[in-house]
Amino acid sequence: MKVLVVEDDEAIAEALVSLLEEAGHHASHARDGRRALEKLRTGERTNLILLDMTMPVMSGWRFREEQMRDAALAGIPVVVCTADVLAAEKAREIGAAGWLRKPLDPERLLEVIGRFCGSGRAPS
Amino acid sequence: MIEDTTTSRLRWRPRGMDARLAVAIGVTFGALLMLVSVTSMSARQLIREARWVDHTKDVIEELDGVQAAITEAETGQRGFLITGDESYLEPYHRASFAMSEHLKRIDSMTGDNPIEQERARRLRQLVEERTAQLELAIRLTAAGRFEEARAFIRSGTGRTTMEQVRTLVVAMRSQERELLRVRNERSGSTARSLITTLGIGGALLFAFLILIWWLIRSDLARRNRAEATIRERETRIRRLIDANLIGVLFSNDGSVTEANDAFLSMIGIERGLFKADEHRLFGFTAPEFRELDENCEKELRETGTCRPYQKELLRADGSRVPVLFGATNVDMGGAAPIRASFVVDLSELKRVEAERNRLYEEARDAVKARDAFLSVAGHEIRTPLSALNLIVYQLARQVRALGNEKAVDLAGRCEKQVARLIRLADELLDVSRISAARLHLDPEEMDLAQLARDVVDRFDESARRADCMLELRALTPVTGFWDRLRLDQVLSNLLTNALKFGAGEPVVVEVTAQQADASLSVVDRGIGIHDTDQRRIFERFQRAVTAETYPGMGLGLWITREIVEAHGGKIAVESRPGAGAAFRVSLPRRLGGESESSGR
Repeated sequence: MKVLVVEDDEAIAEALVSLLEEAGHHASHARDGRRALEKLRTGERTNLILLDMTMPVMSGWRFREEQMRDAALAGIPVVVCTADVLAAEKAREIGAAGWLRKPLDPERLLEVIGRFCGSGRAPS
Repeated sequence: MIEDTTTSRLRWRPRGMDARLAVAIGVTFGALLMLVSVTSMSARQLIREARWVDHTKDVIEELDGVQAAITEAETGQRGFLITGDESYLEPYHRASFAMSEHLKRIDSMTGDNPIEQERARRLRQLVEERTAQLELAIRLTAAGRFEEARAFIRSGTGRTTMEQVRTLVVAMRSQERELLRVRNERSGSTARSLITTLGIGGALLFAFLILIWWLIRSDLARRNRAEATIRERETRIRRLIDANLIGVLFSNDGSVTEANDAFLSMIGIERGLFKADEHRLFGFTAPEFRELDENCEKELRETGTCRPYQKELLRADGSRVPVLFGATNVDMGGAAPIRASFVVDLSELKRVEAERNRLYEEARDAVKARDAFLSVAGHEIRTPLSALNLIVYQLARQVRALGNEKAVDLAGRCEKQVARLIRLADELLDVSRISAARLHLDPEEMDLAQLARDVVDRFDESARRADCMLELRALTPVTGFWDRLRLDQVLSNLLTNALKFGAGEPVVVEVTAQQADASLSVVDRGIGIHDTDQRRIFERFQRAVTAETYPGMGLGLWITREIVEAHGGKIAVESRPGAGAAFRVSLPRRLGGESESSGR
């Protein structure tokens, strides 16, 4: 399972990548929406995107718009990770496959990611 | 001014009394007139009757006169017949003359009575007859025909005539006596009725005079009382004005006639410099309030009173003073109404109001700043906490894999403390969200019994540490449309409290369902809560115990209540000190038809 972590906070991103690697997934990190798009477009194979919403340079919303516009990327499922209480609402707004609230509960994170294993597509 | 009112009131008021008095006086005058006319009529009648009595007496006198004259004539004739002396004829002639005079008078006096008139005529005949007889005897004697004269006398003709005269006179006299009696009686009765009339009339008049006196006296007493009342009222008003608690002004036709010290000091004019009629009532008003004055003037004209309003007056030194102003007309008549105006100085009130507003603004800004700080702090703390949580989780896993017991224990503690930190940060965020009415609910169809089972399982270890037997009574699923995470928070808060304050005693969690509501209760047997604290514990930063004995921020129950109320539910506590506490939450199973609801 190849997961792209789009997160502006280095500490969180590193911990996430480390946790995912530990759990047997391949994980990479992008600091903002634009870098994430660059990574995806340079052909990095990705099964799931963990997307922070509030980021400098390019926010989660803008990233999602760009992703949806790009047919090659539009199919990759996105799980929203945000500190906002309106996480569920935000996820619905941008048509995300799931949502997680910060501070992230590691076990719930692994459970959600586990759901996308094998199929490679998001259960709606 | 107030005296004017007094007199005008006195002039007006006792109209009823005046009417009564006027009627009494009118009736008395009428009675007096009637009495005078009746009396004068009766008197005239009495005089007439007295005249008639006199008249009758005169007639009787004349009759007596006739008889006496005849007797005198007879006496004279007899003397002449006996003596032949002619000097005896002198009384005879005098009597004859008197007789004729008496008869003439009787004639005229009996003109009103036909019977007596007839009798008088007859009397004249008889007297003339008798006189002729006497004359005949005298003529015979004078001619020396003594025998013929004697024979004539002896014939008794004269005596017979004389008898007839006497009988007639007696009849006439008795007739006149009868008339005299009747007339006397009539005159007496007239006199008596006059006396009666005078008596009754006098008594009536007296009674009316007493009535008039009484009416005047009671009217006067009433007026005196009214005047006393008004004087007392005036004294009270005067005291109020002189007390100088509020400014009082009197004005006539818009011109100020009187102002008390309170008003003068308000506008900064010295008593010695204030002159009546030099100021206009609305002349003190600051220009931008003139329109309010015009409205007041209009109201005064229409209703006689102008309701109090706020404005600013210009003081003598040019500064301004905020006041409450009201006015009323104090007299009823007259072209130019006399007005009393009341002025209350609002300077102090305004100052206090401004100070209060300033403090309110400050307090509001402080609360805003605090909530903003809590929000930012909450978010800022959560970011490193988020990373820390992930790191500690991995660390713990690594340590467990290594099998060092001491390290495993430490890692476990680390995890718990991080979880605690996260909860605290969550609480701070909740405070700012609830304060800003931004508590958001994400309701979904869920089973409260299942949620209770999950939470109780999670608290298993904490309960063990607190030496509490944790019992769950949730026999059947209790479904509803609620925010799962928020209800988890509610039960977690209640359980945390129950284990904290009820350590060493059993704690029971119960979930039941009614038709439209679900109930969730957490019952402990701990230290309990005093009556006076039971309402307070649901308020922000309020605690029933000191921080030294039981640490905490005092936010848990407040957030719990806010969450329950955002769901349209209620939370209540039953407790006694030392007897534990039972927190009962009731939740409507549907959120009033909304699919989502915020805490607003």
